[in-house]
Amino acid sequence: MAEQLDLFDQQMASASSDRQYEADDIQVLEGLTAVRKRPGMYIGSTSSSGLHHLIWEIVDNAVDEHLAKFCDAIDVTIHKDGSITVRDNGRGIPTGMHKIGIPTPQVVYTILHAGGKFGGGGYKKSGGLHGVGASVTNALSEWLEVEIYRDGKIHRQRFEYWVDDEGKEHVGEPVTGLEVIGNTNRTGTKVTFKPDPRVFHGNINVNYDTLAERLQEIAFLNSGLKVTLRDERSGNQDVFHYEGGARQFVQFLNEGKSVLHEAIHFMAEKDDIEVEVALQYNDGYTETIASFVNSIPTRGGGTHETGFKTAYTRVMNEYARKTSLLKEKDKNLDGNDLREGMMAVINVKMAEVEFVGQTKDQLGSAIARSVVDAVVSEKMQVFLEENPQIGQTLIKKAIQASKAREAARKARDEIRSGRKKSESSNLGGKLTPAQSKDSARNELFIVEGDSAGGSAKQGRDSRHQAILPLKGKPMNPEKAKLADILKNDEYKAIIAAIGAGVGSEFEIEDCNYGKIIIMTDADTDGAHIQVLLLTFFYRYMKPLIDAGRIYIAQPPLYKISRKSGKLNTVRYAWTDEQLQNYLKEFGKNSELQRYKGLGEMNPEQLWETTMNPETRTLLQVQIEDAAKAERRVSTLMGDKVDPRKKWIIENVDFTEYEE
Amino acid sequence: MSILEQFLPAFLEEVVGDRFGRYSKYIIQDRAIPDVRDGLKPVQRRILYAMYDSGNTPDKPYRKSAKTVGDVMGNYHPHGDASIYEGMVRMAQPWKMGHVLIDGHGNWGSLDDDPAAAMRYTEARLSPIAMELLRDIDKRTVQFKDNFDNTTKEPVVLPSRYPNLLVNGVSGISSGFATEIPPHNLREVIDACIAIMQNPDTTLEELMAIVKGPDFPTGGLIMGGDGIREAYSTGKGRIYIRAKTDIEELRGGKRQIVITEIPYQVVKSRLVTAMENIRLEKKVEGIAEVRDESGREGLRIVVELKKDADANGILAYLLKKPTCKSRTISIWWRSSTRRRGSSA
Repeated sequence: MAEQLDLFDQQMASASSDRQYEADDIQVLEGLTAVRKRPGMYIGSTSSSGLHHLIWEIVDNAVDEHLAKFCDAIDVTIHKDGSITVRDNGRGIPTGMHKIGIPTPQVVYTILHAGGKFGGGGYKKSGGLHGVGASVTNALSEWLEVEIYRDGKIHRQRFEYWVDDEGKEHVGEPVTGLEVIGNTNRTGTKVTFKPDPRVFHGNINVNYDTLAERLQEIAFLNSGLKVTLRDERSGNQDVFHYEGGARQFVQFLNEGKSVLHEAIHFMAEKDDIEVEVALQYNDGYTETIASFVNSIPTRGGGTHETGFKTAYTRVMNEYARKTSLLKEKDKNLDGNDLREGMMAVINVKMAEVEFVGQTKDQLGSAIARSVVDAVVSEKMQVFLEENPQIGQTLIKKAIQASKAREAARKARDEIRSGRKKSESSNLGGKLTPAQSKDSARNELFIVEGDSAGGSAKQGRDSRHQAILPLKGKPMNPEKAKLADILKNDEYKAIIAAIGAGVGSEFEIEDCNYGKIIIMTDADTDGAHIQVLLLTFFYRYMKPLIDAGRIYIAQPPLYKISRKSGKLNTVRYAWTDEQLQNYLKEFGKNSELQRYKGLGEMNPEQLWETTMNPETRTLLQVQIEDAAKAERRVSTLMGDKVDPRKKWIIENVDFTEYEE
Repeated sequence: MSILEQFLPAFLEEVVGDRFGRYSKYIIQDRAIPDVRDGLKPVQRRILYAMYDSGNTPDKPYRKSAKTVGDVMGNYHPHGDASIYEGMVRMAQPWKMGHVLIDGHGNWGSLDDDPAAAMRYTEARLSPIAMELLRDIDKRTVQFKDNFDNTTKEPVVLPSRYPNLLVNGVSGISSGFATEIPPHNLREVIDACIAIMQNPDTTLEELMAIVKGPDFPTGGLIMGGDGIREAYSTGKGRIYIRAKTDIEELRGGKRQIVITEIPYQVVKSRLVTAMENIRLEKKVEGIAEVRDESGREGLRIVVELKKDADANGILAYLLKKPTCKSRTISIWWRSSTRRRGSSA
């Protein structure tokens, strides 16, 4: 009986609220209609990333429940029809009447910038602030249904988008009141919504991997939180549940790399801000810092990262001085050198987060800097005292890095000053320069082998084309240190010829050539040299690729000639298709030559087919997918064998005979 | 050059993948890894076929190596002459191949890793056993393919009357794949083939009763049978070999350690140097002198000990040192290697 009465009360309440607050409702609708009209302003874009944003808004709310220490499990389910359910076992959204007179859940899902995160009472730390709340998800969905498990009851409310007979849009309006549909002894919130295809250009296909990646991050950053992802479309399922926090995260990031020590991990709270840092060096040369605020990735860094870097550099330098690894007269170690090979995860949990930057992916809260700085200083000092071995390894590594950088800078300076003073730079007569000084129009041909270098030199247009022959195969730059590369004759010659430095010291304005053209034989070794050189440019002169100044020459594969009387007709073919066509055209009297190497061509032929800007076809090297390029290069050229073997097995067809 | 040039875009991630794929396919298939059917790398097969084709057979006189290298390079193998001659030299060195495929005349190097004489000096012809690899090749037993410039044909594989891969062993490193197969005893391997032909369901146990393990042309002792079994059953295993040693008593109570067989592919001169360094650096007390006494009588390295030295202790120490005494061979053979009845 009491149950029924309760239900009645609820219905009365919602019914009366509908009547009583009609005027206010209109305002609410305007808010959501605005979201609908300009979704980009709220979720960035209406592409795939925007679509996923809808899910993050809801997931962030659940994570906030975890941060408030009321929730230890989040389930995300992708349904067959494209709808998504996010469920947590937190406290559940308050179901009472909000002071503006409508049920609280309705406030949460229909009013922009609503939520428990502003007042400071309900949530101390929350990430949901970077967006505009769950109402945006509602506004951009066909429908949204929330079930709240709280105070022993299950409450439900449904919102929908529809257009009425008068053509008026109803965006995310409640179609039911907040009803009680049963009893429960659980608590939590379950939200199911279907993104509206009309908003997302018909594509509401949620990417499993994108969700999995982010949810895994969330699980790493929130020790003990169990995050489950299910995909009813494919039957995929993943459970992410970690106790090791950032330490485990950093180990995960370093997977497949050789690490130099056990991960360093610490956390502390200061001024109501929780700071967690984990870092571990690998034997690579790149620095990766993944920073987060309340589990939200801050790709652009921000104050917490700055705080970390300043403190880390300071502490390490102090330590280096104290242990006499740095002598009095030595300069302080540079932060970049100290962080070479570092993999770090920084997670800050704080209230009143402020994001800045164009894409809102930078932390702007000033207090984070001083807090992170203080925590890192204190903890790193203790760590170094307790683990002198790791400390010394890291300092020595940084000294190495700084030497390599110094060497690179010197090499570049020498090359520059050398060029100015006299032409006898350290090129050792390898380079045959172009006459013109017009660097934009000049072209550098990097040619495989001396045998081809000769004909390239004779065949070139000496005004603008310079020739640099390589002897044999250059070393694999992916497996070598910068210092070794600077000692290598082939790379030294290339760096000197280009004259714009190398690595972080590279300055594209100083580049002596408008085009740098890799010209190798059309055989497999030529292919290998191309890969080696491309890896070199990618690692150490990437701005050249970004500027589209690296090219690959395409020498022909076949020459087909026909003698009819005194007339000698010659055709070149680059593909087998062309070859067949020419063979057909020429008939029986044709003569075929297959080019295995550039050295087989006469200088005029080389000019005509491969070097003459009017007739040649160059390939311009570009990067389309940066992550893929990075992965490809490190898989194929790096020092781990297993991933390479896997790639070869998956991508190389051994059944086909080819010479 | 005022015209506006058109460029085709090439995405780094794809170019790198494509070029690397081509290179690795080539390296794996055509350079470093042998064909399971004849146990030969392409350069070796081409050398043997070129010699056969030009009649450089055991029943005829030796012929200059340079001539063969030229034939191979011009007809089948468009690469450097050095790599061809190296391949040829290896096939003529009895300490590398238990059954040499090339019968060399002149200086073909030594166990001390001395180089062979230049190819204009050395002479060679096919060995009798190489003829078994080539036998019946003109009876359409194997497939032929066009050579690199479509001017002649070369065999894809040799007919191989015996499983050369197992008999002579091979090692090769390419990108992503590597192989290291130790040599075996010819008689044992052929017996095993016969056993499989008679009963295709012969088990590994039964086969291992016939082929007990690798058989190295340089001798030595294999330490433990587990590695052998693991290699034979899984295709991957480690076998440790160590030198054959003896302790000789000298007059005056002095003793010396004598080495008469050394592990496969260990360079003798380096082994001697390594032991000499142990003496110089006094890593172990009691070694008076290390001498290489090898000569026409065969291999003999002597470690002379000081009076009252602990001969067994020093021997144990020397055998422990990876640089001088034991050697690891990891066998990496792909499952297809153990195919049944490789033509015998």
